[in-house]
This record gives sequence, structure tokens and C-alpha cells, in this order.
Amino acid sequence: MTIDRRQFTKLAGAGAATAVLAWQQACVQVAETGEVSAETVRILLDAQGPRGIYGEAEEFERLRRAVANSIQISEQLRSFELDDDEHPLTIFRRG
Amino acid sequence: MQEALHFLTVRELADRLVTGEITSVDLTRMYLDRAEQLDPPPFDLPSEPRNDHDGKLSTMVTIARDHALESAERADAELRAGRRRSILHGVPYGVKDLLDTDGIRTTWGSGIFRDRVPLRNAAVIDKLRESGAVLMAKMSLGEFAGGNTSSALNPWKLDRTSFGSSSGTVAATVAGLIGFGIGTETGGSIVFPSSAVGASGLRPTFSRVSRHGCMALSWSLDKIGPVGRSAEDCGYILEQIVGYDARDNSSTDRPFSFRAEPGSMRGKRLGVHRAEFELTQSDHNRQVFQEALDVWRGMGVVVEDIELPLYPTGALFTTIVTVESGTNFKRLFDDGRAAGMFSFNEDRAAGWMAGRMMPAADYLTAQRIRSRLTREADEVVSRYDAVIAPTWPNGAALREVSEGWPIPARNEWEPSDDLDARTPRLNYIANLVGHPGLNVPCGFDLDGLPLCLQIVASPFDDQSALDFGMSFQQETDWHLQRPPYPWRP
Repeated sequence: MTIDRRQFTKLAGAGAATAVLAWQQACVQVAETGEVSAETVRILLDAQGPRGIYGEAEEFERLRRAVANSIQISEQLRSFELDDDEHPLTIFRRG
Repeated sequence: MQEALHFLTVRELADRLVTGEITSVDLTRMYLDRAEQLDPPPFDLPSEPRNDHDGKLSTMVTIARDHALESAERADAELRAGRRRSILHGVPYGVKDLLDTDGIRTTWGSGIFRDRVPLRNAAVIDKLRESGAVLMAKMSLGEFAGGNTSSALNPWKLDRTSFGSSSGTVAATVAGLIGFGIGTETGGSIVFPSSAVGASGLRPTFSRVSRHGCMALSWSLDKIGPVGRSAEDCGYILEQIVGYDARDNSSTDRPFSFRAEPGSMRGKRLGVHRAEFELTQSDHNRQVFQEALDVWRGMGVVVEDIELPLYPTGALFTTIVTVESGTNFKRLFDDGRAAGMFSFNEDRAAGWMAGRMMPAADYLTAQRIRSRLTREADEVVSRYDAVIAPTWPNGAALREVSEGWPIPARNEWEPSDDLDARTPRLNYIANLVGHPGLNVPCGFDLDGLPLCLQIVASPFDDQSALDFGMSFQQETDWHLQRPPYPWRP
């Protein structure tokens, strides 16, 4: 099946939105329970491509803990007060 | 007492090479024989940390004997013809097995890449070749530059950690198995292991040294730097490996011409991050650090206590490194090779995958905070010629390897999220903002393990950190202490 550009944009946008919504969902779950549900992690994982080693239950549990940890760390950074004019430190140098 | 040849500094070795007292072939053969006699790998490397070392340090993943002897013969021929490329000409060195070497396997410390043989040299390897240095060995490290996870032991006491990740490089330098070494650092991987074994190790200013051909752990944090038996060694080596390289986006064209004489230190200003001096649990260690500061005071240096800005350095580090590593190592996960990572790295791998999932906004938030930290840290450090703190508050910790689940000594100094003023911060701030840092030994703890200080200077003022290190080593002999052989169990 081939799809045109408009359909592709719609599908890709839906995929990205799914990942963003899943991360937001994970943030809520961590705030409420300290953990992320397996279902939410699976959505996040599938948005990355092949499941690879995280198709195995033991590794998947390890990942579930790591996602919760990442969210707790992100919360520290999100709550850090910054001026609106603070730019990110990105390096793009030519020549 | 005359120092044994294998323990001489780069300058001392260079003096003997240039006068013809020794040849590069003799010197290289001496180091190769010594390595093969004292430190043959007791098991296949790379490896998980293990107990069955049979008294060996396990500093070398690959000894490149034929390559080294060919390079040494070439160096001697050039010297005979009156062509001396640099002070490193003819001096054998070892490089952390993270940098590509043409025709010599480069494993990144991982069993996954046990048979990886690159067909190119990293930029640093090419520069050292142009300098006439002799590549002798690829040094062991924690898998994928993992912190405290190396198989290399500490030559001062075999039951202690040599930390990581440049542990093979620093341990071999201190044990007199190589002339000098090259390590890499993302968050402490040169200065921390240097501190554990008492080496002089320099983390150069970020972007001074090209990372082309070196495994990337974090594009925005990785540095490559020298390890030697003196601060002066580090200056000579750095001078040969700096320079702009279009293949590294972060590379800058800032010249560095090493000045081996620190000159008068009178009136120079040293900022002391006092809170970190209070972190040691030992009165003896505190006294050792204090006496080191008194050495500079005795030279007329103005020594002042300082405060460093309070930032969530741990959260910044974890976010930046996991997002960048997770992106870089994506293929390992996609094709399943990540299953071959060593057991101690399973949580780390999961962290990388979680980093890949993190929204771009969170990564950019980390880089915005880092931007403000950089401004504030630059301002504090710019008031001084250098800023100082213990690299590590105590001697090297016990290396704990329990049966069935090898876990190296717990890293009690992972960047802390504690914003309290007592949190050790100088190293992590300096790494986040790209300041140069030099580790120098300054004494021993009550178990006979080295204690060291980290001297941090403003960006591109690597010379200032070296000046403080060299002036200290002109007045003291801690950097000349050698671990006795057989190495203590």
C-alpha cells in the first residue's frame, strides 16, 4: 500500500502524539504511584522502533524502573526556575 | 636513589632518548617485556570485573608488540637522521581502548566489540604518531566508558578500586608499564581514576582535543586528555594532541603552547571549595589536604574559601548523558546486540533506552539550566587563577565483587541531586561547563592509598591548572611515590 504525503503526515503526527501522550501519562503515573504501568512503557517502547532486548520480561522490568527514574529526574529539571530569555546550550559550529 | 627507567617522566625519558643514552627500541622493548611479565591479562579482556586476577592488574586489553617495535625503529631512524618530531618522540604510550587504532582491535571495553578492528586512526592517535610517540597498548576500561566498572585493579592495593573509566590507563602509568597514557572523561573518568591510583591526569578544556575516532558517550560532554607521572608530563602531551579538527563539531582553534616552568606563584589566587574538604570521614585525610594547601600558601599564593553555585548537577548529568548515549547507541538496541552487554551495565542500558524516550523539551531544559550554570561557574572561577577541592575525599574504596553478580565498589560519588552546600560539586560543575581539571597526588591515607586534589581553571587556561600542579610538584614528592611490587593484596 502506498500513501500520499498528506496521509503520511497525519500518521506520523499521530505516532508522535501517541508518544508524547504516553510520556505525559507516565508522568502522572509516577506522581501518583512512583511507577509507570507496563502498558504505558510498551507504548513508549514501540514508538522507538523494534523492542529488541526489551521483548524479554526481565529486561522490560528493568526498563520500566528506568523510565520511572528518568521521569523523577525530569521533574527536578522542570521545576528549576529559569528566565524566559535563557537559551539552551547547544553547539553548532561551522568551519 | 636513582629512579628506575620505567618510572621516569616523559621529559626524563626524552632526555635519554635525545642524548642516545637509550634507544626507542630498547625503551619500548623494556616496557613491553615488563607488561608481558608483570601484567599479562589473566583472563580474556574485555571482561566483567572478576576475582581471579592472579595478582595481575589487567591494565591492557591488547598489547601491540609488533606495531610498537616497528614504530620505535622508525623513531630511532629519524633520531639518527637528526629529525626529532617532539618531546614525545620515541616514548611508548598506552591509550584507552575507546579510541580507534588502524589495524589494532578497539573494543570500547565491551565483549560485543571483542573482535572489532578499525581501519582508521582516531585524530589523537594520528597526532601522537606525527609527534613520534610509540603506540604500545590499548588500555582496559569500564564497558562503553562506564564509570566504576573496569576490570583493572589498583597497584597500591589489589583489593581497592581503580575507579574508572580510564582505569587501565592510569593504573599502568603509575605501575610503570607505559611511558604515558591517554584517557577520556565525560563526568570524571580521567581525574577520578587518577585520584584512586595517584596519577597526574588532565581533563583539558572541552573542545581543545578532537574526539574524532573516539567512541561517543556524550557529544556535549566528552573530553580526551593525558595521564602522566607528573603535571609537567600532562602539559607536554596536551601540547601534542590539541588542535582544530573539522571532523569534530565542537572542536575549536585555540592554540596551546605549553610552558614547562610555572614561574613565581606569589600573588596568584587559589579558590578553595572548603565544603568538599569537610567530606572526608578522616581527620588524617583532612590534615593531608590542609597541608597541601599550605604548600601553595608558602609560595605566596593567596588562598581563599569560595562557594560554588547550587545546581541539580546529578539530574543534569543523567538527562544529558542518557539522551545522548541512548541516541548514539540506538542500533545496539534495535538489533539486539545490547543483550551482550556485561551484567553490571544492564541498568545503564535501560537508562539509555529511557533517555531515548524522553521528550526533546526535557533535554533542552537541561541544556538551558546548563547554560546558566556555565555563566555562573565561569564568573566564580574567573576571579581566581585556579579553584581546588579534593578529587575524592578518601582513599580508593574496596573493590567489591560478589560471587555470581560482579559489582565493583559502589560509586558513592555519583553526582548527587542534593542541593545542600556540602554536596561535592566542583568536578561535576567543571565537567558540565567544560573547565580544565588536573589531578595531583598530595599524600596518602592511613591504608597507604593516594589522596589527590583537583585543580580547576577557567576555560582555555589549562596552563594555569598545570602551573599550580607543577609548582606543587616542585615542592613535594608525592607524585614520585611508586607502588611497591609485588602489589599488595
